[in-house]
Amino acid sequence: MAVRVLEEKEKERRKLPVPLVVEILPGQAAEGLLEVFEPGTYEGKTLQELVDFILARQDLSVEEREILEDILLQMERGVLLCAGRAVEGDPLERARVEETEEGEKYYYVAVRAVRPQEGGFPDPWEVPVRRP
Amino acid sequence: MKGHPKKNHFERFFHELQNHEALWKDGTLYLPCPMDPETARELEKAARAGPFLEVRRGGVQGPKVVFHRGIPYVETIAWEGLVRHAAVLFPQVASRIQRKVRRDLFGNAQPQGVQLNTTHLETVLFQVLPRFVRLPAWVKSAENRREALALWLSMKAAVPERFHRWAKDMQRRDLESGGTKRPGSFLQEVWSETEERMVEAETLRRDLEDSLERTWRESLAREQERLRKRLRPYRDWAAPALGFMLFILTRGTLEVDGFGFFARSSDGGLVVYKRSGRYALVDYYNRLYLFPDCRVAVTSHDLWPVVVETYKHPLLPRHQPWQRICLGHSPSGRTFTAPHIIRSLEDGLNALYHGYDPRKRNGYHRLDHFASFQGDIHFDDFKIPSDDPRCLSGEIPVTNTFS
Repeated sequence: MAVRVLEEKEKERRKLPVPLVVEILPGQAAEGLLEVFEPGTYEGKTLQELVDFILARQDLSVEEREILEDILLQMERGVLLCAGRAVEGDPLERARVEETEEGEKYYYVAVRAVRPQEGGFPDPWEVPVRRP
Repeated sequence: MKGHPKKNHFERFFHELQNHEALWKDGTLYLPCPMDPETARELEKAARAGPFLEVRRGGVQGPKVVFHRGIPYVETIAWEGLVRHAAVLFPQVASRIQRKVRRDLFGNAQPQGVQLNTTHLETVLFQVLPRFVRLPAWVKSAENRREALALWLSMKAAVPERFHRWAKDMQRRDLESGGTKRPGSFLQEVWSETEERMVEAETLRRDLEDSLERTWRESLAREQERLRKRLRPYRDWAAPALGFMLFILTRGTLEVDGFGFFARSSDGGLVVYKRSGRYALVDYYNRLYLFPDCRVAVTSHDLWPVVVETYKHPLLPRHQPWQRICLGHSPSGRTFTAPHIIRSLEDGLNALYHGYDPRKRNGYHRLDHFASFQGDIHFDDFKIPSDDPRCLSGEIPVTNTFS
C-alpha cells in the first residue's frame, strides 16, 4: 500500500512543468556550477547530456571559471556521481522538488565530481571519465 | 566518631597566628620564637651589635632573628612569596576569590581565553569554511568579505549579546587609550612596604585576601589586554562581527551546517571537521547497511583524516574514536593550509562514502562478514531492508554502487 502511494506521488511530481536546476559540485563542496533549464529544454535528455552542456559553457564569470577548474581537477582521477550513482538516465529520477524564497517550485539535481579513495590498496584507482 | 570541621591550609595557617602577633619587617613576616630566657638575653645582646642576628649552625645560614620590645622573632616567610604562591598554598580561598572577581568583572558567564593560533583560526574560518558551507549572496558580494562572513556567522552561531557588548567596550577603550594602555601592577604596592610594625592574624588574613583579589584582577586585566591585542586587526569591523571574533577566540569552537572546529584540550591542536551525515553502503550480496553520522576531522598537528566518534567501517581498523581512515595513499607532506585541509577532509569523506568496493571487499573488514567470536567487528546491526524508503527516495544516498 505504501509503495503504491509513493508511486502515485512520483507520477504527480514528474508532471510539474517547472525548471530543472542542475548543480555540479567539486568534491564535497557546498557550492558548484549551476545551470537552470527551463521547462521544455531538458525533457528527453539524459543527465549526462545536461552535465556535458554545463561543462562546455564558455560564458562563465571569474568565480564560475574557478569552480569549473576545480571540477575538472577532481575529474582527472575522479568520477561524476549523482546521489551515489553514476550520472546516466533521466535527470528527474534523481531530482527533488525545492522551492525558492518566493515559493516557486523547481527540480534540483546535484552532481558531484569526486575522487573515490579506495582503502586497502596501494595503487590509485583509475576510473574512465568522459570529458566534455 | 564526631570529627571537628576540617580546616583548610589557609585557616590552619592563620589559626597558628591567632594567639600571637606577628612582626612585619622589610616585606617579611617574623613570628615569635619561644626560647630559653637566658639564651634570649644572650642573643639580644649580640643583636644590639648589628641590625639583626643570623643564626648559624654548622656553617649553614639559618633564619634571621630580630628583637622587638625584648621578644625574639624569627624570620618565616616573605610576603611576596606568600602572595605569589597563594593560589597553590590556599587553593580553596584562591578559587573563591577568583570566582568573586570574575563575577564582578564579567557577570555569570565570563570569557576565558583559549590558546588558539590566530593564523590557523583565520585559515579555517575564512578559507576552509566557505568550501563546505553555502554562503548567502550578500556575503559573497560584500566588499569586506571576511567581515561579512563574521557578521553572518555571528547570526548563525547565535553569539550571545554580551560578546557584542564586550566588543563595543573594547572598541571604546581602544579609542580612549589610543590602543597603548597597559594594566598597572598592583603587587608592587604591597611589596614596596618596608616599615616595621606589629600585625594581627586578622589583619594579615585581610591583607592576603586583598592581595589575592588584586592579583586576580591584574591577571584578568592582562588576559583582556591579550584578547584586545588579538582583536586589533578586526577593530574597524562592525560590533557584531567583532563580537563573533571575540566569541571564537574565547570559546574556540564553532559548528555551522555540519562543518566545524574545536580546540582539543589534550594537545591544544585545532580540530577541523565535516560531518558525514547518514549514508548507506551495499555488500557483495546487494544488501544495504545504514551508516550513522560521524565527524571526519583533521588536526593542526596531523592532516591524516580521522573519525572523531567511536565508529566502525570497513576502512577503519577498530571500533573506537580518533581512528585514521585507510586512504590507500599517505597524505604526508601536507601542511595546515586551506587547500591541504580541504583535500584531506574530502579524502576522508570520499573514503567513507565511496572507498569500499562490494565486489573487491577491500579494507580491514568485509561488510558481509559473519561475526564468529565476541569482539569481532561486524556490521549486522547496520543492516536495513533493500527497499528501505529512505534509500529509495534518495534521502539517504547509497554511495558505493557506481562502479
